[in-house]
Amino acid sequence: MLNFALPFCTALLIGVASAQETPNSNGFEWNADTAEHLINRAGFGAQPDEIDAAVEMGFDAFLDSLFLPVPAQVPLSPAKRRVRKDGVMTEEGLKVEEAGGKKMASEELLGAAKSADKDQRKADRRQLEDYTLWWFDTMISGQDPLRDRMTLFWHGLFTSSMQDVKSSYQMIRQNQLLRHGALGDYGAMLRLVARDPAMLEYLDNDENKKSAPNENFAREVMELFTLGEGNYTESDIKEAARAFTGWRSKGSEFTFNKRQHDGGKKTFMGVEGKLNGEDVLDILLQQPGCADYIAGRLLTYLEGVAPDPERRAQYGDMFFKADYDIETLLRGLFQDPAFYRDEVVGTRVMGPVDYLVGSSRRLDLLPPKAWLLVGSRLLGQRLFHPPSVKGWDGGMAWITTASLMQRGNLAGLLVGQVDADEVLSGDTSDYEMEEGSDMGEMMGEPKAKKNRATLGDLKGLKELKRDWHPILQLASGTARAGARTDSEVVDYLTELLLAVEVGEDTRTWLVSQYVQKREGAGLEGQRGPMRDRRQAQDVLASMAHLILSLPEAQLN
Amino acid sequence: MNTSTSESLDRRTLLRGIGALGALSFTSRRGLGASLSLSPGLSPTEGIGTLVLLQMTGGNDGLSMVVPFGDDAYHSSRKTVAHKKSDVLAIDEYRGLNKKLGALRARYDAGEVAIIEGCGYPEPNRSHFKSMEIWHAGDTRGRASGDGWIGRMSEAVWEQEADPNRVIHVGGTTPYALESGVHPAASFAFAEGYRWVGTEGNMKAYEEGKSAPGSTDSGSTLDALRSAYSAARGSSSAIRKAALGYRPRVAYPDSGIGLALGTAAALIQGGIGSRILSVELKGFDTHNRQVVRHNGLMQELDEALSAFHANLKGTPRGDEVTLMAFSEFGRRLAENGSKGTDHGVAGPMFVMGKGVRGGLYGKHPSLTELDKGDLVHTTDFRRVYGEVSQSLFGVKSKALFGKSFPRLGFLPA
Repeated sequence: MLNFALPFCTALLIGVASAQETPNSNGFEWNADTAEHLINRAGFGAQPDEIDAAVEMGFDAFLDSLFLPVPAQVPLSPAKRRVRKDGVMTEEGLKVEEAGGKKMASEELLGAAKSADKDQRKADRRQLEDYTLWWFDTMISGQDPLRDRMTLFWHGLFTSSMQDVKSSYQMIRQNQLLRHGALGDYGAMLRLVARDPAMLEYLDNDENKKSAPNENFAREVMELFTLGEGNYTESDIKEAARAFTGWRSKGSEFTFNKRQHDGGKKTFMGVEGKLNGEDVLDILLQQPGCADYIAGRLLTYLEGVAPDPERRAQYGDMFFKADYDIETLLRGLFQDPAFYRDEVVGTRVMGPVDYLVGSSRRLDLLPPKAWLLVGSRLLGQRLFHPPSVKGWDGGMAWITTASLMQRGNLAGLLVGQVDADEVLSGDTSDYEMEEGSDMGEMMGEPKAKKNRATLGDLKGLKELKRDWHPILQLASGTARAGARTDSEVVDYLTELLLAVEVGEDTRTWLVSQYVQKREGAGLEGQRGPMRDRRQAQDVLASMAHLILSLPEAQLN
Repeated sequence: MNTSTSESLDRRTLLRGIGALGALSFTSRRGLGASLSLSPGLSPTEGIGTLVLLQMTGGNDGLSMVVPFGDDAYHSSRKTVAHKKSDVLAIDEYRGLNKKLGALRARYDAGEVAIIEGCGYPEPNRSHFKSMEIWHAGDTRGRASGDGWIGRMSEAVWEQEADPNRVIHVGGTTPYALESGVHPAASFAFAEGYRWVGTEGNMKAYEEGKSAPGSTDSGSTLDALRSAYSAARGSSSAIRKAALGYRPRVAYPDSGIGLALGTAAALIQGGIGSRILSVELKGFDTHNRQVVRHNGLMQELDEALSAFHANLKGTPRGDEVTLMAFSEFGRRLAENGSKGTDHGVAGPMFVMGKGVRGGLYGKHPSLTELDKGDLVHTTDFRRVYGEVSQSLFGVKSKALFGKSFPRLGFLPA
């Protein structure tokens, strides 16, 4: 399945020609194609030397390497809780509370509360952004790819949003819970998530009382975290809601409020008794359907297509028998020849994080912070802000006519081909509404604050052109790959930047574009690109921009 | 399928419109849509009507929107979240609109708002996502049934003749209702950024860019991407010009839904052939603190609708606009312990526009004869869809839903 680019790419990509011919004991060939596929899916955006190394290592050793514990280097300052002393924001506006028993003049108090609230919101948002950037950094560095990949998966499954939780401390703690458990025991993770303060807040279980239960958590725990829609009754939801009454958080820690707990008899999924929340989770985990559902979600995520019922059942069974050990499930999948079938390889629409991280990795760039934060948000995957409790839909739902063009624009910024002013010209509307910030205040904000994923960041982006000079290695890469003819150069670029092969017509068109650009820059063919490095770099960057804007660039 | 009338009219209109093409101040990549609406003085029967879909995401509590204040069961089931009679814009002795819906009430009094009570479907699903799928598909199987209902309707009306400016979502993720293999929707949140930018040479290249099937084609996904690629290139310039070049005569509220409806109005007035526009108002999942949250949403909605109406009224295109609002389900009659309500079933829809025969339609669900604590629906939502689709686009419900739904009569046949 390797394309015409092979003759000159062999040296670069493969190194060990013999390794790629031999099917491994699992029944598929471990070669540059399968290695790239596995790296793309188990991690992000395969780099040529990684593919090379993986092939050289052999499949078994490479697979093991994905599960090697990597010391967690979470460079977090002790997370602060968000405490508001002077006032609280409600939907009705600012509620004024008494300060020190003495009622201040309302104007004065309002002003103090407003400014305290603003400062705290700012600090809190910054902390979450720092953590988000740390996560982006590890994804791009590729130090612990599978854990990053799976944390992203669980983040989209066990969802909570900063918009409702309103505490970076709780959001970060939840993410660390997911990161810690990402490859371990799903059952244990479920139990922790059910007691997680961010989750209790997000799904209103904090307000689930004996006298009149709130069903939100009980419903979503079954619909989205364990069984899937249609595999429980409305009465199961009502009974489970009763069992979870009294589960709440206090000062960002889990607490059980016995007085609010309904200790009475319940019947849940056929089991009768004075069930509590733990019992409900146990009963859920005893359902083979739970393993089927989670296996189905994971396969859909990693393969990009929903498994057929047999395949889903096969993996559900494997997961159930392994007592919900996630590593067993992942190893099983990565060893399965069906994971490398044509229907799966290069057919998955990349999510925004995949697109941004993958492009950065393929180009070997560590992009500006604003590009990652604003970019992921522009494209619809703002981390810690899933659109609903269902997380991100994935697949073609990522793609709108707007997001497709914006992906190209972000690629243009990354390779230094586009001025941020042009991309963003005047847009702002969508940005400041969300967390109740003050639009006017943001407009007047100095440009320097790049850490905010809001309007301030858009302004930061506008400075990209000035501050951001990507060090692209495309000219040297072309030379190293031994690409001499125009079409070899194009093949090198598409091979480097895309996870799929382009069709003949597309290739012909790209070659003609390249020739036009090269000649326009006064560069000769053949060894032309080497003559004037800067101009050659520019021509190649401009090609990279076009290529990363293609429909093909959305797939891996 | 009874689509021939509208089709032939469209073609006739098109022929007439061609003369106007030369007068276009900008070039739409596909002149078709533009030429249609540039023809002056068209009546709705000639097919220039525009449908605006307004989605209230999260499960709108219908009982807080059209409040049955005259029903004892309403007050006894809702100790903290009920609206008092004095707090409601009464329509009659039984029901009234939420007090924040002053502008909607004014339109209702002017006979331009139809409220269809008790909308739902058989064997209701209380999952947000499954139920929304069902509303988007117009089919109780949801996504499994194929394209979205607007996608199917577009195919019935315009067959294979795609125009990327015709069906537009103003917002983030494109709603599944607009899903179509033939008529991809354009979708954007803000017009300013709705374009691809590159160096001068690349701008031209991008316009002509090829993405053609090759030997290792990944099939349908890549096809769908290619269709979005060409729809993006085909709509970017027209949409930007329409949206950015337009100055509404009223100020829109500075809310998400306000900005979206403002953009929708600009596209309608821009005459680029937009026929179906979709907008979304999120946040209706009021499991707690419902009164404050829901009232806030009602106010946001009302302010946006008020501006939208003031903006469009009396203009040739504006008078042809029909807006239809829906939500994936209503909420439970009895409140929960967090001053909110959990997922329920039936809820009201409303349809607003100059061509609408205002009033109450359907039947308010009983508050005493409940199914598992929930209101039982009295009108299938596809009955409402069908009437809109037939009246605006000449496509009957049978063609869309495999079943005829009788008209309610809120729109001319």
